[in-house]
Amino acid sequence: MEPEQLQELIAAAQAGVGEAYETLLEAYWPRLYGYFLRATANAHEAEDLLGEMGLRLVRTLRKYDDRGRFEPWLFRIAANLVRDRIRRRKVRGTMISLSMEEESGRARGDLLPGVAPAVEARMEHAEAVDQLHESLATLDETTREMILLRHYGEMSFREIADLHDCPIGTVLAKVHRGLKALRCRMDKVHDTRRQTI
Amino acid sequence: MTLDDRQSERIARWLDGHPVDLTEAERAVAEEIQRDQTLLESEVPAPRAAMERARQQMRAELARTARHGLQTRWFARVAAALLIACTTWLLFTALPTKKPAHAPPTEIAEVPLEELLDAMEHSTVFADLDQLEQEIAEIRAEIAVSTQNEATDLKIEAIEQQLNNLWIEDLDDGFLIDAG
Repeated sequence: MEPEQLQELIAAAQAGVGEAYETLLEAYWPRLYGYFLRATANAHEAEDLLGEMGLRLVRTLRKYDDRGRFEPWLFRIAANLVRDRIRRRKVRGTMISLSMEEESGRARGDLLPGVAPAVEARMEHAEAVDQLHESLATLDETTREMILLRHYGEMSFREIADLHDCPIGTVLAKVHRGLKALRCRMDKVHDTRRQTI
Repeated sequence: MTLDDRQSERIARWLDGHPVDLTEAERAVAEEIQRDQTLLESEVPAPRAAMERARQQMRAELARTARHGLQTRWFARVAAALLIACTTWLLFTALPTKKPAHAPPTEIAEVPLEELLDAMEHSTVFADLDQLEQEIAEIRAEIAVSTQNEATDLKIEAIEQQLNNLWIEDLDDGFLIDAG
């Protein structure tokens, strides 16, 4: 979205125009959903968090200061929602499910228009998604959040460092190590599956 | 390659788009990070139904917020009206009335009879009245005595006057006889 268009939308939403809120959510929901899904590895929770994100947007957008960037602000809220959810999950003692298929309980055909791949490709894709979720789940919570905020929130290292209140070099080191671990694990899983076949 | 803090910071700033002159080793790490970030680029199945549910929740929240805003404004108006009414009433009751000082008290009519009787029983007004009555009696007695004296004096004066008249009459007659 163009910065001017985004600015107008935010101003309209802050003035209480309902359609502006919906347009904002419409513009960011695939990235937000992706972030929630990757962070929780659970389709139900991702969906639930997306709904909660809409509520938070209505409640907090009036406080948004237009001098800052909107996306880091939005994904900061998303990160807080995920942290709360993970904390609650730890309290309840629920196990993290790494299989999106069994958690979602819905056919993979229920996708965004134009993104549903062919059956064979879909299976491969599902496998890749599962691999990624498994690999992400092995990372510590902070590193996972930093990597996901960088990718889905398109946040700079400086913005992530400000969010975590730590030096920018620390963020880079964590992201570097995390991504390397992710790649190693995915390569290993890929090799194992190839050998099995 | 193991990075120290300074190198990490330089690479991070370069990846954030700042013009940093990286060494060859630093640039290799930066490119490795850029390449590894593509691992996350696999498509996420994003169900449209999830978005629709989120939209419904958002609409409900917007409606709730609007209702809440209306209620808040209504309560604020009612509170302001009540405040004005209370202030007016207080001002009205606190101002001095224009009733004359000698006007009989009307508030006594509002006092219950039991309270009045009780107040009378414990009042010293009857003793005061008795004393007053006694004092009046004494004054009356004094006045009566004083009035009696006055009457006697008047009588004496009248007798003296008659005697004088008599003397004068007798004198005139005698004188006239003698002189005649």
